[in-house]
Amino acid sequence: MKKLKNILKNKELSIILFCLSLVLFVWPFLSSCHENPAMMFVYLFLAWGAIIVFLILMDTNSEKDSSG
Amino acid sequence: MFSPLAVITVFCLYMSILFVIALLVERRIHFVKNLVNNPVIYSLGMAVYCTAWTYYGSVGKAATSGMLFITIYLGPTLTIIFWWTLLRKLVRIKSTYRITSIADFISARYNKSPAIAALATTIAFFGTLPYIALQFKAIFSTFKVITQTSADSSIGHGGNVTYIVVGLMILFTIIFGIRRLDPTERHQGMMVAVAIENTVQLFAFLVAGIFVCYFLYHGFGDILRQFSESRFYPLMSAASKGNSSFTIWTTYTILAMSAIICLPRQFHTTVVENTNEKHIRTAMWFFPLYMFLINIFVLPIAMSGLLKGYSVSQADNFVLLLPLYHGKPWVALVVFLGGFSAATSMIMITSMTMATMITNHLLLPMIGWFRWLGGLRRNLLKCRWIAAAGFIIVGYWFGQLVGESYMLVNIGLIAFAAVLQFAPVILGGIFWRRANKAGAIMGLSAGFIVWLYTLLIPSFVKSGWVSSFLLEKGPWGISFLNPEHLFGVVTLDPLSHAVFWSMLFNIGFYVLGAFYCKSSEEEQRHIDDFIGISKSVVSFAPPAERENTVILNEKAERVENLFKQYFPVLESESMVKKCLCAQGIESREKISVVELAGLQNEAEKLLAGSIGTAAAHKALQAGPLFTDKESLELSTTYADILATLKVAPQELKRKVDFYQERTALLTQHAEELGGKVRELENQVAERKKAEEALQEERRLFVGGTTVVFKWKNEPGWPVEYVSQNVKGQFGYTVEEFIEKQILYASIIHSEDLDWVTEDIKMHSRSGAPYFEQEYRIARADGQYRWIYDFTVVIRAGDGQITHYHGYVSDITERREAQEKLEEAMEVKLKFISVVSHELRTPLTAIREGISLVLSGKAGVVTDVQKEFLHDVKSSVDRLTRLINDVLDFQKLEAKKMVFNLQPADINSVITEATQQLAPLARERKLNLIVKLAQNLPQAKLDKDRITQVLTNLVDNALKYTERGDITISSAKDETQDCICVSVHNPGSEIKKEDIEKLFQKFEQLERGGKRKTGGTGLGLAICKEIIDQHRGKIWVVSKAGKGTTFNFTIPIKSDG
Repeated sequence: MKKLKNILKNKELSIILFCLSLVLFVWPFLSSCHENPAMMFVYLFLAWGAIIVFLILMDTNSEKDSSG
Repeated sequence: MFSPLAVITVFCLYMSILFVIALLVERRIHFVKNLVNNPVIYSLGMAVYCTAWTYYGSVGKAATSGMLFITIYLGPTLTIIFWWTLLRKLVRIKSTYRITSIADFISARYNKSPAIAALATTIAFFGTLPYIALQFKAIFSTFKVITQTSADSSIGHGGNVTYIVVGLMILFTIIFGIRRLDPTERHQGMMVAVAIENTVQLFAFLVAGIFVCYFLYHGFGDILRQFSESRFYPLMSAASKGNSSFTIWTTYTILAMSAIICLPRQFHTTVVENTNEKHIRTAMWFFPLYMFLINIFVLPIAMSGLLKGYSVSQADNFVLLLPLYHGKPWVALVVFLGGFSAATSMIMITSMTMATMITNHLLLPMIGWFRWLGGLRRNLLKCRWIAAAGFIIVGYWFGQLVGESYMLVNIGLIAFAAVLQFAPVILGGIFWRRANKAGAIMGLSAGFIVWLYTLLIPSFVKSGWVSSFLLEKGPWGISFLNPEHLFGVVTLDPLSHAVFWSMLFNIGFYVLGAFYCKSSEEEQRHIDDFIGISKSVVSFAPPAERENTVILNEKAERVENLFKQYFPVLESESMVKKCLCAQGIESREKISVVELAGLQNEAEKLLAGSIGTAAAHKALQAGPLFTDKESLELSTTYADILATLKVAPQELKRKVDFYQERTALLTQHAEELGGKVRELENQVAERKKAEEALQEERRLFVGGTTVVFKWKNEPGWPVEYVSQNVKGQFGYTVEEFIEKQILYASIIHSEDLDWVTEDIKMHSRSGAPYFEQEYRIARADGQYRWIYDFTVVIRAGDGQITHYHGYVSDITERREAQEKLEEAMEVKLKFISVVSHELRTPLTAIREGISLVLSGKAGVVTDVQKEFLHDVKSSVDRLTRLINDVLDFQKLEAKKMVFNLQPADINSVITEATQQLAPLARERKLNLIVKLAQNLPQAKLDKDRITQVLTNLVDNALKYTERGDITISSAKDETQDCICVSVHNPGSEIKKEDIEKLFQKFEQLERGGKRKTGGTGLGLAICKEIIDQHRGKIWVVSKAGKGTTFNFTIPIKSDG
């Protein structure tokens, strides 16, 4: 748990999260479900929700400093 | 259905409530105070991104293109991941430069260029105008839906209603956002109103979604299942099957990624309205969550609308139509209100921002060119009102003109593509050191022109405003220049095509300009500020002490004159004071050039807050504060600093950056720690104070011997309050006094009660504020104790005594000791009396015997024998006096001497005493002179004792006088109302330090270098006691060459 918290405090995590989001929201991942709107709906909202959860965790574990 | 009047009424009511809330927030009313500087309000303010386009258009887009609409919200989420780096940097720059808008920001970065600011304003104008049209389109079409039976979703001509709505939008924009000129350009009241609108919007959409999913169908799964079996299924999935689906998806995502910062309203809500960097952290998840929630029902509503048989062309209004035509008009009204909220918040924020940009970056430069427009400077606020109104009206007009040809979503994307042109200059500006003004102008211009040509003009063509020949054959038949297939590119959809070419030209020229044009020195300074801003928020301290040569008044006057061009006189004066205070030079007469530079910066910043950085910079340049000499001195100062430090400018910069970063960190840590320390110190101080008070109370009331009473002024003195330690002192408990009502009088000794009562009455009548008594009380165990009672009288306003406060201490031990002492004194006195008597009897016999022998009756006495006998007699006299003195003194000290005070004539007492001492005086060859005042009143005195005093004083005078006259006089002292008797001798003086000891017992002083013998050292002490008993005074005056005078007074009206 402490390790996870340390990871979440890492400033470079935002870059990894961005890359991961980019991969999740564009081709080729989307191509696997793009023919079925219902499936795409579920997939996109799940992925989106996961990113939001990540952002919440990053906020709650962030060091309350202003350095950047 | 609802009547137009009812809907307008609801609309006005809703806006009025919002206005009241906004007003309360701005006035910092207690119960809304928490809404100011609140991260949730800040995050909800950002949701102005979700306009009527989101509300209605997303459903329309979903009905035709499936999940493509979601890119508009996924894009911002991707950008938001970097906000802690990106947005924080923008916020810091905003705070440093007092940025008011996106155009202001870009201009500030590129050497505060008015040209760039004007260009950015123009792009923003063209980019946001369609958006305003979009909002009006949404309002009017939904208004028509909710007020008519027809479900026509096109912009109708609702008669006067459209004008009313436009008018109200102008009114609300002005009263919410442009009521006054604010140097910070932050509108906390408006932001709270917008946050509430966005909350209403989300709530309404969720209500619509829940209604559709759970009242019209059996949940998400049911809708998805039914839809997959319907004929519409291929329609929705077809959008993602085409060849360009990837391109469109990517284009939409890129546009949305940039829009979240580059849209003027977004820049305003995220950057300009930010009051605390830390709020960004909250917004980083709160805003994506908002978008997530508002979009979760979009696809089900779109599917549901199609399944219910509505046409695709009605898809934009599905969210309204479904509840309206399925028996839930009130849900429809809530939905309408939600959509209305979305549209109004967007219109208000955008119009306000555009009004600021238009006045600051278009109007003010024009005023600079055309002198006859100079008067407008003083009416900047009114200019903003006109700009906002004009912008809204033009937006409405644009909607009427070209809106029919496009669905809502297309208009929104035109705006997105326009503001995308800002992205390279903003990102390059804060991350790329080489980026410069020339590149920015070239890039922005090129990108804007290409956007205009490839996207806006085709929209005009599609609206039937321009000939369709342009899109079919290209200009002048040149297909190579076809706006939608520029340079022969035919594979891209029109939007991706426009984005591709505009970005290519924009970035291309931006980079080209950066490489081929050199930045000026001043621009280089701004570059350093912008790129290195995240390292520090601390400004330079004054570099060095310089001589104060600049007269401050002159400069302040110049600054004030400059401010007066834009603001009223009073406000200008206040702003000047603010500048001076910020620099800490308000009380100075002269300042240094370095401080003058600080003043100029402060004035520019303050002005920039109202008119933008470019205009403020230009205004300061037009009327510079520095003379040539001062400029030279400032340059020399900075050069000196570099020379002194012996470092290269770059090295200095690096070091300054490093230390500023450290300072920023340390300052923040120190502030945090300081806050905690202050908090702890306060806690400790409060605790210490409370402990001390407690200890004091304990000492006084619990552990101490003083019992505090509060008695009512009623018969028996019932106790109203008594301190807890009463049990220890009195044996009674507090309850017994308070609840069982034991009267205080009941515990006073029966022998003392009468006089205590009388004494209290007497003191109360006299009006004394307090009095003291010593009496006995009976403890609970029956034991009597002596107490000392210090009583304070408490009176009401009318002077009536209501209570007594008593501080009562047990003095039994002291009283017992005193009684024992008195007994001992009594014994001592008796002993002395007996001894004295026993001594005096033989001495009298001896004296009489000697006298007999000396008289010759006992035989002849020779001269030698006579001499011896005289010596013996004088020793016997001396011994007799000594015994008498000792006896008298003991009696006086033990207060046993009885004074027989009778009215008597003091002169006769003096005469008598003088006569007794006359032989002695003659013997010593001295004269006794008596000077008596005539008609002296009689005084109450003990003749024998006063004679004793006089005898003692005259005898002393005779002893210490070698020659001369001894004068005894009497006089009346009118001021003191007493008789004064003096005994003067011309003998040697008494030293000042000896005078104080003179009346002390057993003191015999040396006078004239020799000590007289024959005294007991008690004479004057006895005199003092006797005079004291007569309530008079005795004192001595002795001066060199003038002799010594003993004085005493006897009061004429003595009570004694």
